[in-house]
Amino acid sequence: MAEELSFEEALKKLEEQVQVLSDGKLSLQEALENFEEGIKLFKFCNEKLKEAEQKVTELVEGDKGLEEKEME
Amino acid sequence: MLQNPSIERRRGLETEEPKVYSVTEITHHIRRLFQGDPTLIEIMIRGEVHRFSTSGAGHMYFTLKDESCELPCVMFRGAAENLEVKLEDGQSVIVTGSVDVYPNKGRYQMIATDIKPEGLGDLYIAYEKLKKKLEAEGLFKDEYKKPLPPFPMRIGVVTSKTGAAVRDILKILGRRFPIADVVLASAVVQGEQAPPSIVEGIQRLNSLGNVDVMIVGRGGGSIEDLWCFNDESVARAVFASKVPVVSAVGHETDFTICDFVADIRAATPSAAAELVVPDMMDMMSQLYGMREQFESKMIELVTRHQDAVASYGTMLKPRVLLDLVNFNKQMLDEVYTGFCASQKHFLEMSRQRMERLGGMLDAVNPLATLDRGYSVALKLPEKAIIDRIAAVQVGDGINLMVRDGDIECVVKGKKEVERWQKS
Repeated sequence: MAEELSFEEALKKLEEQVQVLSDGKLSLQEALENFEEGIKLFKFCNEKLKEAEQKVTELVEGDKGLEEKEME
Repeated sequence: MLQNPSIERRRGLETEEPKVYSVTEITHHIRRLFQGDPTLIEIMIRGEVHRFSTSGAGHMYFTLKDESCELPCVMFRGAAENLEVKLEDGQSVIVTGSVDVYPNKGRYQMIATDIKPEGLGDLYIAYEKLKKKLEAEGLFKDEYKKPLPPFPMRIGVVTSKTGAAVRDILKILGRRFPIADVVLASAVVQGEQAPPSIVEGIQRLNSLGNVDVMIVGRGGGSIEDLWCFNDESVARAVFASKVPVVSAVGHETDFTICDFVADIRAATPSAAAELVVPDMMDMMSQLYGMREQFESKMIELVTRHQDAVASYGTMLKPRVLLDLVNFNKQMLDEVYTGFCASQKHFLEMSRQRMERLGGMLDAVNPLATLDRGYSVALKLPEKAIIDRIAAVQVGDGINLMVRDGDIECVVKGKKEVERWQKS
């Protein structure tokens, strides 16, 4: 599930899950599912942040029009 | 025929009672004339600086001169502090400001808000003209400003590949938000080739279709160096950009047309980089904060369910059950007592009602007349009322109802008799 999400979407979803859980209207079963999902989202966001290494490219005019070339 | 009422009044006053003004009155009158004249407000004047001095309070005084005239000028501390040029006597400048009256000395003077070296005069005039034009067209309006994305994953940069700006930007983006990628559209940012090159960079980044935000700018330099960011084509390209543009030209004090059109102006390229991305460290702590909140809520929820289960358990113990039964019994008792009481009440009410109805019935009972000695004769066996002689034949049985019983009789004979009648 989390693999297809962008970082922003995952973060937003996590926020929503926390909110839903805080509202306290869930049954125990639902809450456990919600919790599991939330922890997955947390891990996803956390890994994205940790493992991120900035890629810097330069736009250049290539054979097939614009291309991105890695810098340095 | 006199057109000017003030002249008319003055003439009139001369002949009648001459009005004597105070110096203050006249001075304030003159000052109002100055302040009401648009030719004297927010204007640019070209001249040479003479008798330049700075007061202890930080205000600057000088006289602006040309071949034939002089104009005393003052620049107050606030404006003087932001002034980039260093003034010296004999320097040709263009002063921006308003001409006003200085009442204490009875003279007029220029209150300067900006001073530029004369060599740049034409540029500034063009700058002001373009600024007014684009402003009138609405290019600076807030309603066109696009919000910056909170988490840009691809950041475009339009600047020189070799300049200080790109280094500063990459350093800060890498430190604050390494999760985002950077796409550089290298551009010439100085000289005549700069405007088309910058415009191309902006358009290329837009054409990629996957850039979330872009920084357009360059590091500090002379005013001429930064001038390409005052170019109309650059301003229009920034305005047309679908990708939000952060303008970052020169230093804090440099304001370009590009700054006004951009969705947001950053004081420097470094500041632009800070503006464009969140700090990952903040994000991390926010993320961990959320997790903590999440866990504590979960623990709270589970604890609540455990408590509920525990309290059901207590309820199932014999002592509690007995209490429950007793309690229910008592409830039942109360309900029953209440029911009986209301039942009794109902019966009493019914009895009273019956008695009342019985009395009413008595009043209309036809048999009541028997008490007064009347009797009712009924033909047997059908017990039909006998109200005429034709109702019976000789030999018929008759039942005679009297007060305390019935008398059985047999008809022995019958004859017609005339009865008294009221009519």
